[in-house]
Amino acid sequence: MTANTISILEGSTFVVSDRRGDVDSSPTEPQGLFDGDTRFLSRWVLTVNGVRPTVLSTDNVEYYSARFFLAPTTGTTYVDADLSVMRLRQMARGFEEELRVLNHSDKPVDIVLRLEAAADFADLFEVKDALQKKGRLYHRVDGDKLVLGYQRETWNRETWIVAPGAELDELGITYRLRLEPHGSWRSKVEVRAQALVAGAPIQLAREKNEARRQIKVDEILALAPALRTDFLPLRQTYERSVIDVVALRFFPALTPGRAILPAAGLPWFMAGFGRDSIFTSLQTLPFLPDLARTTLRYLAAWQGTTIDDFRDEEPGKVLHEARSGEMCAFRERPHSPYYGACDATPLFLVLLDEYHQWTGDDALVRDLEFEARAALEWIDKYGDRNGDGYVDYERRNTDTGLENQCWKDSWNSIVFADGTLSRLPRATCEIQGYVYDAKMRAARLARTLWKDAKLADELEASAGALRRRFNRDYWMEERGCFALARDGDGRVVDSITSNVGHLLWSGIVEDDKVDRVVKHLMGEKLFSGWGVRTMAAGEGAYNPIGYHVGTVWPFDNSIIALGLNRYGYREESSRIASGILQAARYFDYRLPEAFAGYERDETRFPVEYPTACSPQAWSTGAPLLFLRTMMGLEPRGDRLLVDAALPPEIGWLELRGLPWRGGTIDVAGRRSGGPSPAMRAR
Amino acid sequence: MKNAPNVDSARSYFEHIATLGHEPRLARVQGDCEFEVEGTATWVLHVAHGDISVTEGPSTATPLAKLRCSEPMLVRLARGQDHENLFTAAIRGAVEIHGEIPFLGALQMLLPLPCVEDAPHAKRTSAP
Repeated sequence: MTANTISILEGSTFVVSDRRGDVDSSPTEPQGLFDGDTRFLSRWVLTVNGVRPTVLSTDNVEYYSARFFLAPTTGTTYVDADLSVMRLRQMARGFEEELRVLNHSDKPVDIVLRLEAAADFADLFEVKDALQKKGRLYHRVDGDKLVLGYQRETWNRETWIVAPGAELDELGITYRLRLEPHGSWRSKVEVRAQALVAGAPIQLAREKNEARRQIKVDEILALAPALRTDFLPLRQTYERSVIDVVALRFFPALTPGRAILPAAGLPWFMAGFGRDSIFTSLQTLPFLPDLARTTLRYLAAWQGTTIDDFRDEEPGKVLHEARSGEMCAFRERPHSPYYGACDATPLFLVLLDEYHQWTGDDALVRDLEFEARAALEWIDKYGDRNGDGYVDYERRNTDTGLENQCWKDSWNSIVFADGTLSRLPRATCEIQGYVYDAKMRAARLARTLWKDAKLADELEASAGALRRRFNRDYWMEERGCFALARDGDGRVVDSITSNVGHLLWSGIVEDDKVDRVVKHLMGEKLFSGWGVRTMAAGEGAYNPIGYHVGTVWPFDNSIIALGLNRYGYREESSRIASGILQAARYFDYRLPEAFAGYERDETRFPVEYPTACSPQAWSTGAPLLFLRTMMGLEPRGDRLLVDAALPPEIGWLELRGLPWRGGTIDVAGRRSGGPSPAMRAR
Repeated sequence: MKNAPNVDSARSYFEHIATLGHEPRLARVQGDCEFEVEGTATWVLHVAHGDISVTEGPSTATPLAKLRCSEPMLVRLARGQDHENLFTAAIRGAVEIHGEIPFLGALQMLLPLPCVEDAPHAKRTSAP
C-alpha cells in the first residue's frame, strides 16, 4: 500500500482508507472495508457542513486502530479553523468509529456532520480484474440501522451501520449538532460485516468466538524475544515485523482445529497461502514457534485427497491458496481451496522437520505422520509429470489455474536468457532443491520418530540420486551457474536468477560448484547493492520493475542469506542482510513485498514496486530470519549453536527470551574482534 | 473430480459413509454431526477418533454440529458435482451450518466423498 493510505487490520478483515479516514474507492482500487475477500464498504466519506475536512495528522500506532485528526478547511492559510474533528477507528466485527468534534471558538456553532456510505460487495478478484457484479445490491433503513446488502441466489452479505443519535437515509448518516462555546461532542458508529443464510446471521470462522484478539503493541513486544543492539534501525525493523506478523494472523473459514495462520499480504493476499505461510513460519520459528505449529496443522487439514482438475488437486498435495469470496462460492474461481503450487508439498515437509528441530515437539511430528507420508507419496507419484525424474508442474485447470506454480508465479517468470518463454511442464531448479531437502529431513523424522528405518534409507538414497542427477543436468558449465529450470521439451532454461540462492539453502549444491554460484549471487548483475535481484541484469527478460524478473524480494534474500550461511559464506550472507535491513529504513521499517532492482548507487534509496503488498507476511518475516542468520543460530539436538557474524554497522546485538525447550534463553553476539558471544540459560 | 462414488440419494450417501469404517484423516476428531436433509430424514454421523458410524433419526444427545440442506444439494456435494464442496456450499448459504466450526471443517473430507482409487495409501506406524 502507498504512503497515502492508512490500513488497519485484524487477520483477514481490514480497512484501507486515505489519510483523512475516507474510503472513496473506484471499482478497481483496493480501498474499503474487506472481510472474507469481500468489500463491505466502498464509500465512507465524512463532510462537515458539506465540505471534506483537511487532514492535520494521522496516528496508526496499533495495527488494529487509527486516529485521524482533521479540521474543516478555511481556504486561507492564515485563518485558523475554529473546529477540530477526530475519527478514532478500531477493528471490530468490521470496525467501530468514534467521531469527536471540538468547538474552539467562544461562540456556539451549528454543524451538519455527514458520513456517506455505500458498499459494492466486490469480491477481491473482481476488484483486481475489474469485473461486474452478477447479483442484486440493496439498501434500507431498518430501525436504528442502515443496511447495505447484496444477494445472489443464496449468497447474502450485509453491512450494518449502527449510529445512535444520527439520522439515517439510504446513502449515509447525518448528525445535526449544536456545540456551545468551547464545547465538544462525541458519538460512536459501528460498521459490521455480516454473512447471512435465509436472512439469519451465520458464523463461518472460529474467530467470532474468540474473546479477545486484539493485542496492544506493547503486549506483543513483551511476548516476543527482546532485541537490543547498537544499530537502532534493526530494532525498529524487528519490532515492526513482530507486530505485523501478529496482526496478519487469522482464523480461516471452516477449518478444523484451532488453525491460526498468517494471511499473506495486504491488500491482495489476505488469505491462507501454503507457500507464504510455510516460509513465514520458517522465518519466524526461533521467535514465534506457535505459528509454524498451527500452519502445519492447517495445511495438513486441507491436504489434497483426490484428483480434481478444477482445483489442481491431487492426493497428498498441499494447498496453494484458500479464499472465501463470492467467486469461489460460485466456483468461478478455484480457490476453495486451490492446489496450484508445486513447491508447497516438499516445503511442508521441510517446515515439519525444521519445526521439530527448533521445538523438540515429538508429538506433532508423530501426529502428522500420515500427512507427511501422503506428501512424500505425492512427490513421487504425482510430482513428476513427464517422468524425467524431476518434480514439475503443468496446470490441470487450463481456464483459471495458475500457469506458473513456483514462487515466481507470474506468467513471464520462467524464461530463457534470450527472453523467450519456456514450455510446460516446467521443473524449476529450486523445487528440486526443496524435494532433496524434504526427503533428507523426512528421512531423519522417519528414523527418529516414525521408527521406520527402511523408509529413511529409501528417502536418503532417493535424495542422494536426485542430488547427483541435478548437479549434472541443471549445471551450465558455460555460464558457471545452475539453470533456472528444465522445460517440457527437456531444454535447459538458461536465465541467471535468484533461484540458485535457494539451492544453497536446500543443500543440493555440490561443493565444487558453490564458489561459482556465490560469485553470481554477489556479482553486480544479481546483487543490486540492496539485495539479490530476482533476475540478473543483462538477461533477456530483465526488468528492474518486473514483478519476478528483476525486482528485489526481501523474503527471497532472507532464504538466500540462510543458504550462504549453510555453506560457510558468512560475510556474503551478512552483506545481504545488511543491504535489506538498510533498505527497511526507507519503508518506515516495514519491508514491502518487493522493491525495484535499480542499482543502489543509481537511486540512493530503494524504489518501491508499484503494486506491492504491505505488510506482506514473508517480507515481515525476513528481518527475523536475517537475525537468526547473522547470529548463526542453529539447533543441534537439545543445544542451540550461536556463532554471530555481524555486518559493519552492527557492533553488537542481544536477543533475550528466545523460546527453547520449554523455557527461554538469551543469546548475544559482537562483531568479530569483540568478545565471544555469550549464551545463558534462564 | 475423478471416480466419484455412485451416490444418488441422501440414503445412499449415508449408506456409503457407513462402509468407510476408519478414516485416518479424522483420527484427531471426535463428535456427532446431525444432518437434516429436507423432505427426507435426519441422520447422525458419529466420529470417534477416525472410526465412522451412522444412525438414522435425530440425535439423542446434543450434537457438536448441525447441517441442513436439500437432498439434491447433499447428492451434489457428495459427488463433488460442478466442483461443489462443503466449503463452497456453506459460504454460499446453500447449506446451513451450526455448531463447532472446527468440527465441521474436519467433516469436509466427506463432502465430497473421497475417491477410493485416489486415496493415499500412506500408513501410520507410530501411535497417533
